[in-house]
Amino acid sequence: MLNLLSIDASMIEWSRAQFALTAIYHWLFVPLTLGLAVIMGIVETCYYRTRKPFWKDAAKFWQKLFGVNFAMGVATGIILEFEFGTNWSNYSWFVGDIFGAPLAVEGIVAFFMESTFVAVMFFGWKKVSVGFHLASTWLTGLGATISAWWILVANAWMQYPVGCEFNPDTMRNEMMSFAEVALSPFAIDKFCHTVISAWIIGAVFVVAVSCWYLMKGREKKLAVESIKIAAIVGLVASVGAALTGHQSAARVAEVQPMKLAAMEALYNGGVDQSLTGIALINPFEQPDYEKGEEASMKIAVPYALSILATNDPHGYVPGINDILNGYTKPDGTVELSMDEKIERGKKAIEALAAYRQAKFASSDDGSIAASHLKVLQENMPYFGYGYIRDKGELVPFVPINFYAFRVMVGVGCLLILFFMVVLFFVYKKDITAAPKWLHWSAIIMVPLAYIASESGWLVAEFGRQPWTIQDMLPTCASVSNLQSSSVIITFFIFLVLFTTMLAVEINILLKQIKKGPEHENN
Amino acid sequence: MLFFWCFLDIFVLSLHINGYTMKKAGFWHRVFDLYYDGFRSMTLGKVLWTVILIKLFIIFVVLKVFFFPDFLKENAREGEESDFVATELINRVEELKD
Repeated sequence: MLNLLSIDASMIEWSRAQFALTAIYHWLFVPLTLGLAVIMGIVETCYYRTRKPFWKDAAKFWQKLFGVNFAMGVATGIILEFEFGTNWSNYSWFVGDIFGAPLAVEGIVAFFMESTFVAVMFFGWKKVSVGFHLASTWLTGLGATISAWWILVANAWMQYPVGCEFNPDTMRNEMMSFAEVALSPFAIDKFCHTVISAWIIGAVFVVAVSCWYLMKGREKKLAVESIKIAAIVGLVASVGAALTGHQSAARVAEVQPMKLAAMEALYNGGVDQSLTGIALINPFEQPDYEKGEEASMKIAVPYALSILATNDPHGYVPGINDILNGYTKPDGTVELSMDEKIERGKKAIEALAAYRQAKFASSDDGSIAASHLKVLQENMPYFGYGYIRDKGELVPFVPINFYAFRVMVGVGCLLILFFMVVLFFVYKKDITAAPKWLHWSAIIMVPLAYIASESGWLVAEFGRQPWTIQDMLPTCASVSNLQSSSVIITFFIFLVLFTTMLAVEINILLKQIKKGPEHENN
Repeated sequence: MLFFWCFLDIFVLSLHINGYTMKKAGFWHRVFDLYYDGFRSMTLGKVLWTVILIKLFIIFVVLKVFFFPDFLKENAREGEESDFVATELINRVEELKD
C-alpha cells in the first residue's frame, strides 16, 4: 500500500521537467515536418505544371530532407503518453475519454494516412502517375497537419475544458459533445497559430539551406528558385502568425486572464492598458506583484494591450492582483476572488468524498448521496482550487512568461523583416550576388526561429500553471505518488538519449545537404 | 474507421499504380511491388530505418518495460481504478497541507 501522506514536492517538479524536456525535443521535429511539407508540395506542383526535370530534382531533394526529419521525429511523441501513464496517472484517469478520443483519431490518421502516402511519395516516382504522386505529397503534409490538429485539440481542452461533465462514480470526465471539444474556439486559434508558425520554420530552413549553397557557389538554380518559394511562404506565414497570435491573445485574455497578466507582468490592470515592449524584470525570481510597482526601464506602446486583449483601445484588462482579489468585468459579471474559489474548491472535494461514502453506504437510500452530489455539481467548476494552499500558487512564474513572450514576438517581427529583405533581393536584385551578411543571417535565423517557436510553447504551458486542466486539476493533484528518484533517473536517461538522437539527426541532415540534390533527370 | 482507411488507401493506390510491366499483375502484387522495390532500392532509407528501429527498440522495449509501467495497473486492483484515483484525489488535499 502506498503511503498517501508522502507526496514528494520535488517529484512534481521533476515530472514537469521531464515532460517539458520530451515535449521540447518532440517539437524540434514537428514544425519542420509541417513546414517542409508545404514547400515540397509547392515545388512538386511546379514540376506537375511544367514537367521540367529541374523541378523533379528539387522536389526529390526537399523530400529527402523531409524524410530525414520525419524519420527522426517518428515515435518521439509516444514517450509523452508513457509519461501520462506513469507520472501523471491521476490526470490520465481524470481526463477520461476526452483525451483518449482525439489521440486515438490522431493515431489512426497518422499511421494510415501518413504512412501510406509517405511510402508513395518516396517509392512511387516510377510507379504511380505524376498527378497521383503530387496528391500523395500533399496528402502526406495534410496527414501530418491533421495529426497536429488532434494533438492541439487535446492540449486546447486542458487550457479551456469544454464539452464534458465530471462523473463522480467513475472519477472521469465524460465527453458530452465531441464537436464542442474538437471545434473549441481555443483549439481553432491554437491550431491556426501553431501550424502557421510551423510553416515559418520550414521556410526559414529552406532559405538557410539555399543561402548556404549560394555561399558555396553551387546549386544556384535550386537555391534561387527554392528561396523564391520559401520566402513567399515565410512572409505570408509570418504575417499570418502575427494575426493568429493576436486572435490567440484575445482568447487567452477571455479564458486564461492570469496567463496574459503574467505574460505582460501586469500587476494592476485597468482600461487603456499599454503593451510593454521591453522592461527589466529579475529573470530568477517572482516579482513582488502585491506591491504593484511597475518594472524598471519599461518601454510601452500605449493602448496596445487593450487592443490585443479586447480589440478596443479602451478595453479593460485585469492584472494579477485584480484576478487574485476578484474584479468586475465590463459586462457586469463578477469574477470571484481566488480565496473564494479556493473555498468552493474545498467544498467540491469534501462533497465528492461525502458523496462516494454515502453512495457505497448501505444505510443511504440515495437522498444523502444526492444532496452531496448537488453540492459537488455546484462547486465543480472550482474543483481544482481545493488543492491550492495559498493564492500565490495561482500566479505563474512571471519572468519566464514575460521574456518568452517577448522573444517569440521579437523574433516573429524580425522574421517578417528578414523575408521582406530576402524577397527584395531575390526578385529585384541578384540574390546570388547578395552580401554575405544576408546569407549568414539566413543561417542564423534557423536557431532563432526555433527559439521563437519553443518560446511560444513555453508561454502556453508555463502561463497556465499551476493547472494541468484549467481550474479543474492542478499539477500537484495530477501527479502519481512516485519516488522522485525514479523520475530523476529517467529525466537524465532522456537527456542523454535525446541529445544523442539530435546529434545523429543533425549529422545525417548536414551530410544530405552537403551532398545536395541528385541530378538524375538532367 | 481503421478498416475504412486501409481499404481506401489500398483501393486508391491500386487505381494509380501504372507501371507497364505491372499492368497485368494482380492488385495485391502491384501494392507489394511498390513497397518491395522501394525498400530494396533504398540508400539513405536504410540508415534512417536503422535509426528508427533502434529508437523504437529503446522506446518500447527498454523505456516502456523498465521505466514506464502503468501506474494504475500496478497499484490499483483491476476494475477498481476509480476508487484508487478517488482516494488519491481526496487524500491529496491533506497530503499537501503537510
